[in-house]
Amino acid sequence: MSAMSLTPSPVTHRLGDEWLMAYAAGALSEGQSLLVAAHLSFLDDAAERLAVAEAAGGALLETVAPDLMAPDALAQTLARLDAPLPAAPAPAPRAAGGDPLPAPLRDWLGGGIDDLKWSFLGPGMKKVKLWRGGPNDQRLWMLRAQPGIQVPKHGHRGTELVLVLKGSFSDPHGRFRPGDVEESDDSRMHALGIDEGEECICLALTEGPIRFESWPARLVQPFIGL
Amino acid sequence: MAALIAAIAQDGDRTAFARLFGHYAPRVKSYLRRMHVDERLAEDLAQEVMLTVWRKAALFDPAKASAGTWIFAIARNRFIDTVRRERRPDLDPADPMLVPEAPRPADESMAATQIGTRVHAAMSDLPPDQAEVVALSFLEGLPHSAIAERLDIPLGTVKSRLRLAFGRLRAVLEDLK
Repeated sequence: MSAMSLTPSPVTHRLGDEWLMAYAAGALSEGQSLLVAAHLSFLDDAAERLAVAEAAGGALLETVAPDLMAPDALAQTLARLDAPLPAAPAPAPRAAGGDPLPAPLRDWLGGGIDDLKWSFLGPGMKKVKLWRGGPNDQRLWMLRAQPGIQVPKHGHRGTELVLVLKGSFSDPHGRFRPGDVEESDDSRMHALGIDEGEECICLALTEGPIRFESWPARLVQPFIGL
Repeated sequence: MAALIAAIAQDGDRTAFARLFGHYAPRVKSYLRRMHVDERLAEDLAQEVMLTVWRKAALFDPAKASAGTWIFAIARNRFIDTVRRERRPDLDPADPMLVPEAPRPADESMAATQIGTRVHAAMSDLPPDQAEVVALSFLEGLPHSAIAERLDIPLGTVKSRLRLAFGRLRAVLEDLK
């Protein structure tokens, strides 16, 4: 399944180009790279834009002061040219039709959406934690919410990125459909409403633990591990 | 440089490889040292990167990237894989940069050979404050937040400088079409 078939409507909320530059530079954490690569999978011009960003790396490589290689470096490398190729890794399993996971995410997970172990997050909401690491205690996870659910008002210490994979949600900044990303910074408590009609699956990258505004949500906070 | 990679792909030309090695291996090593890889590992990885260039030469497409850009991407991926021990998610698992497409018309390939030169010129024309954040990002692998701390500027300024730099590079490459 190509990324194109995931995109019934054009992506209207794109990540800023600084994310593309950081992805090309290799300056993102693994979790951030996954989210950016997943987002790019929804864009028609991603390969071309990435080529532009990588060209910056190529130009810089030409300008660095050459380091001294070992005296026998070339001889050693020439001697290895005819060595047999290492075995290529096995291709990742292909997803069944209708799986909303974009290729980079599916390959990283090594499976489809239904292979994941979803657990309770709140009424009408499930979550699955995928990764934790990087600077600022980053967490990559997925949210699966029923149509019409209100995700309670919450905030984080740092940046929050939410990529829609299936369905849609709305908040004061607009309606977010598959491929769209919402980037929020730490100064804002925000709520979002899952749109009616279809479940919504999102990939989220958050920094530090979630902080909820209301006390009932705060009570369950220790148990959800986000 | 692109012609040297083509000679490797077509004829297994070891002389071409030696020239490419002479130019890029010391630069790849220098890049890895700036990414805080120790001397010995940087030496090994620079050799490994050049070995990958030899093995994948047939997949290099000069219409998509300059030799330097292609080799930069190989070195970056190797760094992430070996040093950070992370799995870099590729945009396309088949790695678009490494997959050849149908041969292009001669005039288009001709334009493509200018990519390296043009981007190089655009990079040296960047305002110093933009060039600085691009270099810290690509040559030291610093996250945006670390660049902000290093330069003592707001995170938003780091991001906007990178966006502006990207816009300039993009405009240059668009002109080639």
